[in-house]
Amino acid sequence: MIFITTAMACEAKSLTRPLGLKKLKEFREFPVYEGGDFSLVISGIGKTACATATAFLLTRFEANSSDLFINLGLCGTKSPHLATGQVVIANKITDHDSGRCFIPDMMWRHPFQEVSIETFSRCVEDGWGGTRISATCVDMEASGAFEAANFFLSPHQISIVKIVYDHLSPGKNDQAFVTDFLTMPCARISTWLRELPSGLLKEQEPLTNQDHELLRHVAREMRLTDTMSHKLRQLAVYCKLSGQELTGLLNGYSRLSCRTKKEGKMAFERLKKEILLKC
Amino acid sequence: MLTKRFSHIYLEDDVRNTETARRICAKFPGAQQIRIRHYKDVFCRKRQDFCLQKLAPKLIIAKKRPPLVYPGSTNCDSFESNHFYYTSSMMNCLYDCEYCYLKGMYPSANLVVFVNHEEIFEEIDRKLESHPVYLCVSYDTDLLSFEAITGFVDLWIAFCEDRPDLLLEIRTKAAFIRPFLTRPPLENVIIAWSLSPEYVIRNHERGTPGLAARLKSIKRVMELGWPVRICIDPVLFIDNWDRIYQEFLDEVFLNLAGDQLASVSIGAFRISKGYLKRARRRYPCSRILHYPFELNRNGVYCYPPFLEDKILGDLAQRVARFVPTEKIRLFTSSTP
Repeated sequence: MIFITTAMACEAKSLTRPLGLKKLKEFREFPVYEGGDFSLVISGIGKTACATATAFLLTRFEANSSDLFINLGLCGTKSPHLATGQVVIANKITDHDSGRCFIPDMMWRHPFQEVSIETFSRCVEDGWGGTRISATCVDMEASGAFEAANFFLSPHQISIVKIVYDHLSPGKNDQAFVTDFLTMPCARISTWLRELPSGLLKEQEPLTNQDHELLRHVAREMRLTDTMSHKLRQLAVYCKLSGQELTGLLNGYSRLSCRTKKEGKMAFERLKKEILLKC
Repeated sequence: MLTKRFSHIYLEDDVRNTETARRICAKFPGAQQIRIRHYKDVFCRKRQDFCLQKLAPKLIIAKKRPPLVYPGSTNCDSFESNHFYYTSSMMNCLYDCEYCYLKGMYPSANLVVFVNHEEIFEEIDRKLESHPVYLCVSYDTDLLSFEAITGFVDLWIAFCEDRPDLLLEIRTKAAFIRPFLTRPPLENVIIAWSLSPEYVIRNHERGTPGLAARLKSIKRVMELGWPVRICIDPVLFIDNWDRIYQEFLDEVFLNLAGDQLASVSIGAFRISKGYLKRARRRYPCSRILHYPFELNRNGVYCYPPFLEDKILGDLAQRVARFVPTEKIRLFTSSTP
């Protein structure tokens, strides 16, 4: 699953169309869209709103280690080398208020320019309060999105993608204009999103739920302590990784009904020997 | 879809303008350079995916802060030295050995290179004022495998030239030997080559040179007069280990004159409790890591004593056919 947050509806519109996302009616807290492998939430402006919406989306949709998260939106820049409409991706995010830095793990290839982004609590215009801007681009959500997403996901699962909207000069804020402005950049982003791995592959645990159930049963029958049960699980993992049939091996021990812990301990040692001999 | 290895270089503010940092960066002209305050801002991020990072590691260039030199680990052979130390010019390794303790040691698989080696040199000089030093410089990494990028082995050798009280060990699995070809051999620099059977290299030591390439390099540096130690460590209990290790020893000593080696060190697989726990979580399907090891009284997981004794005893006996027994060192998990 790829989870997306945007601050404004006009930003979201440029993505919901190309990705074919439909609004879900069951959520009152935030507008949520879904379609295929994508879920999108509109957070509202600012890092607190963005962090809240991110946590909401990732919790409600039970994000896990195979998912990706993208915070998408507009940004400003002081750099004359970046053109308006250019798509950029953050390799470092600084929260202006706290000075904290967040660094995504740049594991995925992308066609965009990499920049550093500084997140402010207020809209930044050129000469704004004489504040020093340390990053190439500025926005109002990235640090909140990253910090919240990192509670659920690894840093390689989180990407901050922005579209340069202005050079810190007051621009048009008309919603229809923004949607129109974002059409082309969002088409590029959609293409990239579709190329991203939608399900990150992880090594599967060797023991199935059925195996765990059988092991619990055997541990009960053998009156094993917690430590010995853990050792039994470890033996079972090794047994399976060695290509041995676990169920057949354990079946003989599943109806032991040991009367004392000593009896169980002896049976456990027998089982251990048997497994080590076979593997 | 994954980025290339070292597509990104993270540079600590304190060292980004140093000559060594610039030299290393120049080796990766296409890499994105990102300024950071402290290497831990990247290296110690929470929830990192070690296995994924291992496939496409990034480079972090940093300053080593005190302590610059550590007392040697009790899990490693001190070769009877009373002043056994190690230092890390790098953290993590280019290679990807399934059984390596680094799999459970660090929160990240990214490589950290410390470029303030002059400060480490000064620290060693201070120690040398009071006693001789036995120093391992390639623990927690393989310094020689990254030599073409850092040139650190060359710097260490130059440092040893006029310090006879410093005995240096450079442990490696690499086949790269340029630093030893360009200088006359030194008695106080021991190159400790880790060797494994070709079967183990192919299946469990991803990215390392094959046995033949390592043996060719060893032979060459021995001919030049450099002291070489062979480390058959860790010995792994694998299917048909008996036959596999016999064929391995035959091949090793067909190529190398056993009596001309500085020593042969043999050690069974061992790993501290915390590292094994983390490594098993990261690699749930590694049969080597999921062996039901036994915890000894030093908090180290190892093969059951009867198995460890058998493996090491058998191997030592076979090595003794090629190497004088006084040059064979056994390192068991219970060695103090």
